[in-house]
Amino acid sequence: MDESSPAKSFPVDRRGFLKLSATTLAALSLIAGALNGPNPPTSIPFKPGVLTPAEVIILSKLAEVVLPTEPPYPSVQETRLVERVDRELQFHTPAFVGDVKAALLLIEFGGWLHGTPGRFSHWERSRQEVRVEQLAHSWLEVEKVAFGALRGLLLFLYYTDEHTWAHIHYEGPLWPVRKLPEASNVVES
Amino acid sequence: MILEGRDVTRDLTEQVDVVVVGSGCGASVVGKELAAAGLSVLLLERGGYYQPSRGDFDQREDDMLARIDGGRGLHTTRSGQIALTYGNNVGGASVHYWADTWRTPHDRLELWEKTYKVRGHTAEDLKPWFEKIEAELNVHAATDAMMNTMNQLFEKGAKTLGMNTERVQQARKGCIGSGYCMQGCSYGAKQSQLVTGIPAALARGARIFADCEVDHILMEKGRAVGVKAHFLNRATNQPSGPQLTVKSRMVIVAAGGFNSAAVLLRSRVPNPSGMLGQNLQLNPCPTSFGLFDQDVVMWRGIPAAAGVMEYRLARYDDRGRYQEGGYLLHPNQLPPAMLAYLLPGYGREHRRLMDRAHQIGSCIGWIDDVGTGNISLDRYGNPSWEWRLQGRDILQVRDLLTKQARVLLAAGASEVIIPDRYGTRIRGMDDLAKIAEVDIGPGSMLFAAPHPAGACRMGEDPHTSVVNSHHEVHTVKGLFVCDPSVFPTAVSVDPSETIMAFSYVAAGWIVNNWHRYENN
Repeated sequence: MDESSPAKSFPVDRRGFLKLSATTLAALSLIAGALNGPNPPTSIPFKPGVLTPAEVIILSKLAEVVLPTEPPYPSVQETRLVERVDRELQFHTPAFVGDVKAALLLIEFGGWLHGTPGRFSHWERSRQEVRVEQLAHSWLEVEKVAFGALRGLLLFLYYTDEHTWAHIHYEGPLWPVRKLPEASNVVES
Repeated sequence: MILEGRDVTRDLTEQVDVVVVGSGCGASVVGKELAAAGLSVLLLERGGYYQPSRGDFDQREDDMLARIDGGRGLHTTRSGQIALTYGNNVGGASVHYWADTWRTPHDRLELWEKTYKVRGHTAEDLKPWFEKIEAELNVHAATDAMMNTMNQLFEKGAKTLGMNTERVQQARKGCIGSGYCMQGCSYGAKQSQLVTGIPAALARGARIFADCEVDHILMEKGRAVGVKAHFLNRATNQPSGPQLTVKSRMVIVAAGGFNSAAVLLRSRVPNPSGMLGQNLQLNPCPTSFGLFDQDVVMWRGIPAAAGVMEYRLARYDDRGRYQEGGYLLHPNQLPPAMLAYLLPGYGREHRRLMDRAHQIGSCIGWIDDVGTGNISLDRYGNPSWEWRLQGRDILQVRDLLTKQARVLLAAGASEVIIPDRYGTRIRGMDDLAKIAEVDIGPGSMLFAAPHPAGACRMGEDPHTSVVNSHHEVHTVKGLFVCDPSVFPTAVSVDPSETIMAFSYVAAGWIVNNWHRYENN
């Protein structure tokens, strides 16, 4: 049985489609947003190096749905997760960073594709959970891939934070000394 | 001598007999053999130089993935479905590999000889090199002491089903079973090239420049005459400023199966056959997970001490229809954050699984892929990889997942979790039929791919191959490739020993024919 992918039917490649759809959806939503008045103010807890403040907020909201944020597990903020993602992106190529930004844009505005226009980061939690479910099981391969990649990165970095280890019965490295590498995901306090 | 990027403050020019791009299994063998023959040899490694004695291997998943994995562990094929696993450090991928060591199966060598016209690499030709490699790397069968709980459960499950299990050959010396093979051995026990071939090459006079990325190969009148490179700032992964020009009589590209073709493409090596960058195979690795009512603690001990090899070759019925097989079957080892990454789901459902991380076991397998992909360059000159799961490979994936589920259930798992986007649950043998319908496409299932091959394939016919049987590029005199890129197909087992054996053959030919290049 040869299973063809829906992405093969599109005239542009995955990266091109991701950017095209995300940009189009962003434009549509900004028009809709202009009709609904100004965006509510938000603040972010760090100064990003790669992500824009809006992208930080989108990623933070996504992380709060993807990760177990109730006590006793540490929160997204306590693990400085989005800050670590931002720092990680500094080591990557422009093409890779562009993919991540396009994926965030698609997450934020892609509700249009499922009949739910608006901005993901502005919705209440229950609606965000619906959107994440849409992403995970989307009819659009590029949405599934975009969400899958961000889901994986967030989970990986979250569980490298030692405050999660006791909850998963992991005693940590046997090596006695942590040597902060020059290039790492660590966010020095 | 090893020069690291942080110690370079100005442009450098070097004149050597041989410059080698890379420092993994292939590079370290040719490096030490050619240095031993009295040639001046310089190895250029894009990644960093990390040492157990300096405490560089701190066993933290985030730190080590960033240090020693290519793309900092985040490179995938264009579809996003295949996670590329390759090295980015002195010692190459051998620093993060599992130490499982395999001779090239005879059927693969026969295929390469008969179909692809590879000469001088028969089982008889390679036998003395296999013996030498296995002695150098202390290769021996995994002992009972090496069998952690996951390995024991695997053996129990497989034997219950009537499968033949074998102990896997391991390249280890003084291993304490820490469980951090994939993060690089903190104890120097895993016999990676970092602790074997590289020190041997240095002892014979080879030099290494780390944090040094080759831009392109220099060519004059159809001959390779050196390389241009730049140094990297390890703290930022960006160019640090100083450039390097190396003039040499020979260039050996050993940048790995995912990257050597890109170096040649970027250098505009003549490619009349169109084969450069094509024929990429990569052994995708399906995994599945089992929930047990006992502690498994998958992240301790050594990975793949045992395995089932009887399904390595695919089987067909009288009409040529696929029946089963085309993979190896092994117990898996995953540290906690990587386990979290690969387990399906999110939110509370995912957390419930991670609450029981210590009771989760896993099986893995390497698909001997039939389909091929390619390596090209993006508009920035960086490699871009294309490979899609299709045809018989899809059937192999489903069959392997089914076998994995059966082994885990037979080992006592209360349920098996298939890592598709739904996290399909298998709670008994009656549920196995679900696997036929599981979505294994991009965005639903992710596969690691650790064993690339084919993108600079070997053969005597320049119309269908990139290098000849002594590893020299057909169209450029003095340009060689010594890594798995030259294999006409995937090896079907871990390729490290094959890479080294082939590289010994290459080095021997170069030494015996050096007079052809002395005036290059």
